[in-house]
Amino acid sequence: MISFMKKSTVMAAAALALGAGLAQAETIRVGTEGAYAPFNSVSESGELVGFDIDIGNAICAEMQVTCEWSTHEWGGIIPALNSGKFDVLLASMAITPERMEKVAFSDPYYFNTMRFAALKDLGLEDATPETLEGMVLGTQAGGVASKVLNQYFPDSEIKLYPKLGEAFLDMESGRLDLVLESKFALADWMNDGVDCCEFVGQDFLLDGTIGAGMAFRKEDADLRDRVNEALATIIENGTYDEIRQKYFEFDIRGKPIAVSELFGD
Amino acid sequence: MGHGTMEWLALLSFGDKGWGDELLRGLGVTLALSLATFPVAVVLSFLIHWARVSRLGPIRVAARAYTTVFKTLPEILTLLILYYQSQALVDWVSARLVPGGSLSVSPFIAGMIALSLVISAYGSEVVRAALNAVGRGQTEAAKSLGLSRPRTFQKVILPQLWRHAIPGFGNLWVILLKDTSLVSIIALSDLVHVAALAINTTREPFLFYLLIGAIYILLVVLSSHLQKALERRASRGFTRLETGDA
Amino acid sequence: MLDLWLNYRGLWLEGLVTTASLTGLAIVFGFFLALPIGVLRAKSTGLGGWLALGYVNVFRGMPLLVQLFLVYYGLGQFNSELRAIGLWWIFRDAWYCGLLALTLNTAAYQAEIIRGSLQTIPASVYETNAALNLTRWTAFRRVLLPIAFAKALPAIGNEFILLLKATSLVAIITVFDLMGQARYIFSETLDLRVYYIAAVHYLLLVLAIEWALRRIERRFAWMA
Repeated sequence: MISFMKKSTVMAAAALALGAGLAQAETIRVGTEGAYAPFNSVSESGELVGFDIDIGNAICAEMQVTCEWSTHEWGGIIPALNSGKFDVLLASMAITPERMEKVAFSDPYYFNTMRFAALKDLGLEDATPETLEGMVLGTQAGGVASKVLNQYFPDSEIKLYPKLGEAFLDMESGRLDLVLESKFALADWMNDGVDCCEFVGQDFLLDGTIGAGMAFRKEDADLRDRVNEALATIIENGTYDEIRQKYFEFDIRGKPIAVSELFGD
Repeated sequence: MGHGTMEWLALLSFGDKGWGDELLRGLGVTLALSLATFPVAVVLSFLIHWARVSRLGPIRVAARAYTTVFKTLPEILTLLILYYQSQALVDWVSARLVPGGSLSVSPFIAGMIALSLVISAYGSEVVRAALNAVGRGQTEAAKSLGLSRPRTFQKVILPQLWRHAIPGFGNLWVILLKDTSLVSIIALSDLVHVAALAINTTREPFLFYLLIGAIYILLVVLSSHLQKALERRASRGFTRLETGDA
Repeated sequence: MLDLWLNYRGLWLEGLVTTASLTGLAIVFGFFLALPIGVLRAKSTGLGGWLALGYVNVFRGMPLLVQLFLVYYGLGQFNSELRAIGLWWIFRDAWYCGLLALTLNTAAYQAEIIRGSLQTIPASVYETNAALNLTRWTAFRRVLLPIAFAKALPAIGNEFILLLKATSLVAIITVFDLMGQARYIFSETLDLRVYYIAAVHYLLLVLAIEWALRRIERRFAWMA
């Protein structure tokens, strides 16, 4: 599907005539980030790939509509949804009470848990606010991990990156001591021939999170219900598991431990 | 990282495993955005200049505010505000024109608008300086020959104006070319954005940023050669005295 | 609007200080780097002149965003080599990387400004220097340089403001300047007014700089 990149160029040209999105009944515009492997990323051949993408396409197939994908900056992805640049946000976004004030979420389609990865040289046994005092911790700006770092790790230096991949580069160069992120994203990165780093500590969830969901504008309750229905169907008929097995050998829908149970008083 | 030259070349090859074709497409987007924006910015430059010398006070004030604001704000801020805010405006308008319809401002359009605003704020000064260089005498002479104002501008002023405006606009073209890189921040697949994607999978930031840096340098050097050629063309028929460096 | 500023005033002020100090340091360091390059551009037709031209073309030809990425992530790839020669403490820190990239960048622009003003010094000044029997170095240091500086001041002032705007890009390499704070506060609140508040800060900074520049220019005006 080299067409993804081409499409964005063509779309850009089409948008000259302001034709970018006169809503059509049979097309759903899906927005994602495209920089969050293994969930959504852009491959060497320029196509959008990953678990999120496959799930989205399966849902669209189930709904008998066409998915039209586009990529967006993570930091502005909720405003982009709310200002109508696309209709469904499918980007492994954790469902949190704060975000629910801005958008409506689908049922969770998996649990994305956080975990620390540390430089091997540090030889860390565990990752707690005490053991990480004075260290440099990084994650992507605007994600749930940045909330955890700000709230539970006041004695560490915190660096926030526009893209997760940039935090990984800084781990590899040793500017960061640890990175806190989705354990799936971390595993994908570390399995890719990177030998600087290792997992430390347990994985956990931000309190009040109930998994990763697709987001909608609040007024699009109709669309959300239809997507929920399609999601339930593909879970039931085994399509979901087929896709999941392509990326993960284990179930990713179980609920893990919350951060306050781990680091709270 | 320790990649050899051969492996680097493989990363830049065309086809499924290399990023050559994606980078080429990124270059296409960069050029398309620059080429689409520039004419708009030039036309806007003239409009802003005329607004600044308008006989109507409020228009003059508005034009001054326009140039102050867009020359003061970092381009990236102008771009972000426009990208997320213009949608509200477009929605408001489209809801009145096409009930139920929705138009979306693409990063390309947002980039075009934001960069046009910024470049024209500087461009209005290029226009003013060029008009000064042509001199008021020309306008008065044309008037005494009975030419209308639009005709005077079109037939007398404009042909001479280019000669004085080319260096200034050439400069702005180069600034524009480089400023398009900012649109990568709102995820338009230009050169910089493609490089970032490539780095995500290849983990080779030095190679890719060096490469696209070199591409930009090449574009800028080519542009300045083109500009020199245009300047020479535009000064044909003028005596050495007039065109000599001040 | 005011509530959004007050709630995060600590961050806004920190950002303001970071932006102002980065801009101020980069313009000064950049000036000293630009001096030899500008002189070579104006005077040397040999290898030095070519190197100076190369420098100017490279750093004016690349978007600053690419230069920042190249210095920060690109050179970060060579962390073990940089550690070996004891320079990693500079390149480890995003603020230093930002300062370095901004300095290299503004030096290219300032070099061209200096070249321009050196070239407009009239021949009579050179003749006077010769008549006074000044050595080349003394003539350069005591006569040509001050005149060139006074002539260059308005253009350098302009560059100062362009550099202030350009500083906003360091936010992309994790520095919490004004723009970085704005992006952070935006990610917390998802409130677009955050960017308008940032805009007001930049407006005020530019107005302050313009006011200061006008005063300085007036002092040096007699020389130019």
